[in-house]
Amino acid sequence: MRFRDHIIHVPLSVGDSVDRRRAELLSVLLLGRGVAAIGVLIFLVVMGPEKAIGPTLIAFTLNIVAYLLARTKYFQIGTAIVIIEALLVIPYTVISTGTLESIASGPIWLGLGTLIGSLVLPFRYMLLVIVGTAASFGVIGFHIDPSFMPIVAGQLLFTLVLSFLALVGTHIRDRGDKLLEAERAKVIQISKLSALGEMAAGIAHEINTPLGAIVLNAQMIERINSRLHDPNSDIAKRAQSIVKIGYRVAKIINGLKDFSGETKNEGDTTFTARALIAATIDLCGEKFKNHGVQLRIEENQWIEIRIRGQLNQLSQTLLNLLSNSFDAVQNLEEKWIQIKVVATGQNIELRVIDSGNGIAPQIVTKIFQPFFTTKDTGKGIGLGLGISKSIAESHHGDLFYDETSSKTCFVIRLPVVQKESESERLVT
Amino acid sequence: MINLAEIKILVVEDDPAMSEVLCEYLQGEGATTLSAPNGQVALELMEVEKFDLVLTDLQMPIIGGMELLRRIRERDTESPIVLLVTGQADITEEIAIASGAVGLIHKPFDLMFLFEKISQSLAVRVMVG
Repeated sequence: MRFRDHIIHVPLSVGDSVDRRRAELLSVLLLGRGVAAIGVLIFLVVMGPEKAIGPTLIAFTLNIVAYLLARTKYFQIGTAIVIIEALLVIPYTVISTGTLESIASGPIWLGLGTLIGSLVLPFRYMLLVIVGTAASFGVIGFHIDPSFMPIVAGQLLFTLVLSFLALVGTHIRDRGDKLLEAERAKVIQISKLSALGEMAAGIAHEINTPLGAIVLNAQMIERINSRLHDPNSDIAKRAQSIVKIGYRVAKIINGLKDFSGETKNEGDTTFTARALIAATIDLCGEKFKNHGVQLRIEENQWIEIRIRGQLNQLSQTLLNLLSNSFDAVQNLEEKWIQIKVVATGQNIELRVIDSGNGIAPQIVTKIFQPFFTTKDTGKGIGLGLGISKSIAESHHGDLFYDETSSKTCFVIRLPVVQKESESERLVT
Repeated sequence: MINLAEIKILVVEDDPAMSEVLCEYLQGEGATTLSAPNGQVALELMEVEKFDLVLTDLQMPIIGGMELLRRIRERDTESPIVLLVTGQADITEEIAIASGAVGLIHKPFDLMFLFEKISQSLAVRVMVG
């Protein structure tokens, strides 16, 4: 969640986040090396060749230093070491006469290499270098003197553990990259929308003022016409049409502005799902009743779960789903809308289900795009779901269409408040 | 309904088209109007004339609507001021009233709505006076 926050709120530093994730993985790998070095140390103590203990201890220390470095901004140094170690360990072992010391001090070079070399090298290369280095090192040692077998075996074990860790590291990294790719796409989409919103906010004044003048002039024409001619003449109709169109343009501009995130920040509060639903129904309940649309709210233990965020924004999100449902069921024989609260582990889901016909599969992917609407021209401008989704996302949640549901079902998913201490201002 | 005859209104608006149509309409309703393209000219006009109502845009060169509102309130507490806004998210009717305006109108707006707002504002003034 912390990582996600970072890239959602600071889209420009997405690149930094990749480095940060790499650094985190590298530090895990190096910690593993340190642990493996302890293993070798114990192995050597048990097997007896005391001369190897010193070098292994040094190697262990170097690995720990490399691990600590990897936690800082200098983590890249670690990657470069791995290349250097490959260049150092093998020649050293070959050139020296194949004494126990030369083989046992191999871990020093390994550790030193790790310390210098974590620079930009992707993990798959690191893996190759580690396996290659230790294996050739072991083979050479074995070839020189079979009596060094225990130490060679220790080095090979060391290598195996490292390789395994490198594999795990690579796997985590690749998975992380995939997640990151998805996050990045989302961030780009959000930045696009927010750029659109900022532009709209910037030109709202420039457009709405002359638009205001157009609307007023059209209304003046209507008035003048009603003084001089038939109040229902074509002139009046055209003037009324201009007014209507003017308002529609203003609505689009104002709708776009909501993407800019410039909407009033009233500060986060903690409230129950029930309070959120109640605040929303205050805004639309009457309208539903007047149009014979039945609103069902399922009573269950989850409705008292607490959420933290901006009540007005989340209420706007829920209202948007309810209004969409209302528009969908209004002209149907059977008209009802159900709100169901369900907790799923760390999250709470507000499910808005209605008696409508659902969303056609071919347009499901488009419903969150700006300006996509199935409503009649002038009725909806196709921004509601996109804005609602971005509100849910800014609350570390999501808004999606549940295709598995038999009825039309939109879901607002939000994290639940865990700690008691987070609930400073409880709104009930 | 309040008749706007004998009412003097200052229209502060930098957009000439908006300013013109507002004045035309208000004059049609019987009011006397003067227009200013920004807050500074408005303040100069207010030095020499007394107005029953000020209609002001927010975003204007030199002196904007909020600054104008503050400066007018510094020297008199009575003349009603109505803000014409273009969807600025940070200015709500509550903020406008707390800052000393009697009301706020979002552009674009209806003539009927404007008339009602002006009537209410003048009624407030009558009550205060």
